[in-house]
Formats: sequence, structure tokens, C-alpha cells
Amino acid sequence: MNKVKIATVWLSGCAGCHMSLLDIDETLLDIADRIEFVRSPVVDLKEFPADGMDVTIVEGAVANEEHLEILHEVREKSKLVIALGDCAVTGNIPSMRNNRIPPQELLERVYGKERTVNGTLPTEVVPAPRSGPAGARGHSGRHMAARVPAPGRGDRKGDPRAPRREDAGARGQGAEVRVKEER
Amino acid sequence: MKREIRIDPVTRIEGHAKITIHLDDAGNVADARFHVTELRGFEEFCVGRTLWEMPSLTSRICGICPVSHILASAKTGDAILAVRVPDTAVLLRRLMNLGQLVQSHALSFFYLSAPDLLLGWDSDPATRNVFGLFAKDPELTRRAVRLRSFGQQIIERLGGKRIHPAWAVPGGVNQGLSPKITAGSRRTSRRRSIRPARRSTCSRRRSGTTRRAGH
Repeated sequence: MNKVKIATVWLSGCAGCHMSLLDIDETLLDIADRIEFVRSPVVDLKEFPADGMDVTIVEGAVANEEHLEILHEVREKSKLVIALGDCAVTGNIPSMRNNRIPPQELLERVYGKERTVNGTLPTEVVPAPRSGPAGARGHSGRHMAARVPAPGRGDRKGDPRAPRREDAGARGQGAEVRVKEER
Repeated sequence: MKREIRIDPVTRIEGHAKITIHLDDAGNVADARFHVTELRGFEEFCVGRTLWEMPSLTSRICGICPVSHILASAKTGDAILAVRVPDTAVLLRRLMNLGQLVQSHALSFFYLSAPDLLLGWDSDPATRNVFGLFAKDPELTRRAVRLRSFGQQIIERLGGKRIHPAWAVPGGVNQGLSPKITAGSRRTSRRRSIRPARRSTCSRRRSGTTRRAGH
């Protein structure tokens, strides 16, 4: 029997959902002969293998450009994508800053001159933070999801249904990747 | 020739990070940097919110060590309110913190570091993880998993759940240690017990009535 190939990724979040996964305790060992954790923060492979995953579990919200890239790659290379937990589904805690402060201002407040020694913004290695657009706040847009199309459902770049973070609604960065199965 | 060695992401750590190692013309290390790449903005979005929200909000800084953040926040609240925390609450907070030390050390050592130490630095990256460890030494790995579970169950029995228990509050804790709690909450009874579990224990538990008693 082929093992089910599983990947897990954490975007902007607290790792608590990964801990909940580990909290199934010995059950994880009981099913170890049926699953293979290929790519995960708890294993060493750093790239998504080209032959793809059976299941990818996504924890956390899209809060910067790197998260968006990762999520696109996850969608392209996974048969099944599961959004696990509040941050992945609604934006939750990582989206709370959206109601107060635009990303650039956040960077300046946290890393700017008043707070740090040299006041240099970390542009080289820290991915640019993302946020929902102004005016998209409020309850009405909250459940609009950024739908990430399954592979083979049209070119991501040219497809109007393609995921645009701007569509994510009030919570801005709630990368709501509904479970979709490749058919 | 100047070179840069980039480790991105750093795996098997508790959090997000990159490492860059900068080599000079002679190939020696000129500089090495550890980059924390995640900016969530807790320090900004918490501003202006109420004191009572803080333990629950700040615990979400980390789901691996939420207890540290809950307790730090609650203790800050104690100081702001200038209240004296009852001795019992101090001890209970300390007990939960010890539970966290157990689970977090078990995670850090056995799940994250041990594959390097027990399987070897040069072992195959594809299996250099806790599952590879399980394949090599099942008994050790089971004991490691139980050790983490033990710590998590202490947290759960005190605070009602394993991760982000809303339990420590400015002034103390919101629930004492009653006999009912020590006998095991409904959640706890669904899981395997603190004692080393055998398969037979598991199946008995599954068919038993204790699990439904709380419903």
C-alpha cells in the first residue's frame, strides 16, 4: 500500500494547530506506516517535491508576500488542501492588525527609529507584510474567501477566478483555502 | 569569491527563521545572521485593548509555549492592578508552568533535535525526523510521545485544554483544582491516560461508558 503523502505548512500563526496535530499523541505513531510526512516544519525537506502531495494541511493566515507564494505552490502541488484552524479560515489573530494599522506603517512603528538601534527597516529578508485594502473592512466581506483554484482549472495569472488577496474581504489576510479535491 | 549560504527555512525549530552565512573571498565565514522573518504586530494591535483580553491575545504569540505567554501577561496584569495573588493560585500557575516545561522540552528534544542526535547529522534528510526515529527505535519514540502528552495533560487538567487555556487571569486563575478536575475532564477522558497506554486499554476506553458521562 502506498503511503499517503502529507505536507503541512505554517503561515502566519502560532504553531498551535501543529501542536494540536501532535496532540493526537500515539495515534500519530499508530498510523506512521500509512502516512509519510514529506514536507513540514517538523521534517527536513525544504522544497515541495515536484510530484506533489496527497494532502497538505495549512495552518495560519496569509500575512506577507512569502505566505502567498507558499500558498500558491501548495495549491498547485496538492490534491487536497485543508485549512486548519481559525487563522487559516478567518484570519483570526494575525488579521487583527488590519483594523488598526497599514502594513508599511506597522513596519515603521516596529522597526523604525524610535524602537530599534539603527532604525533600518528589514527589507532584505523579511517578506513584505500584506493586509486587506482599506474600505474592505466590516462584516459584509468577512466570509468572502480567496478561492485558490485547483490545478488545471485555468491559468492562475490570467484567470479572473484566480486568487487575489484583495478579494479576501474584511479580515484581509484570512487565506481561506477551502478543501478542494482534484478531479 | 564572496558567497552566501542560505538556510531557508530553518526546519525543526519552534518558529519561523532563516539563516544566512556570508563567506569572504578566502571562503572563510565573514558574517552569520539569524533572521526572524515573521512580523505579526502584537506590539501594535494590542495597544488600546482591555487588560482582560491580554492573556488570551498574547498567548497566541506561540501555540507551543502558550502557558509562558499567558502567565507573563497575567502577572503583568497582577502588577498593574496591584493585587496580591492568592498562594493557591501562585502554586497552580507554577504547576501549569512545570507541565509546559515537560511538554516543551519533550517536543524540543525528541521531536525536533533528537533526529539529528540519534539518527546522525549525515542521515537521509527525508527520514531525519520523528517518524525516522520511530522506525529506528519505536519504544523510545513512544515514551517520548507519552512524555510530551504527560505535560500537555497537566495543562489540560488545570486549564481545560492543552493549547491556549483561558485560565490564568490578572489576579490569579479562574478555576481551582477541584476533585472533579483531578479525576479527569471530559476532554482528558477521551484521550489516552497519563499512564503508559496499551492497545487493550485503548479499546476498553473506546467501548466504555466513562467517555459519555460528561455529555
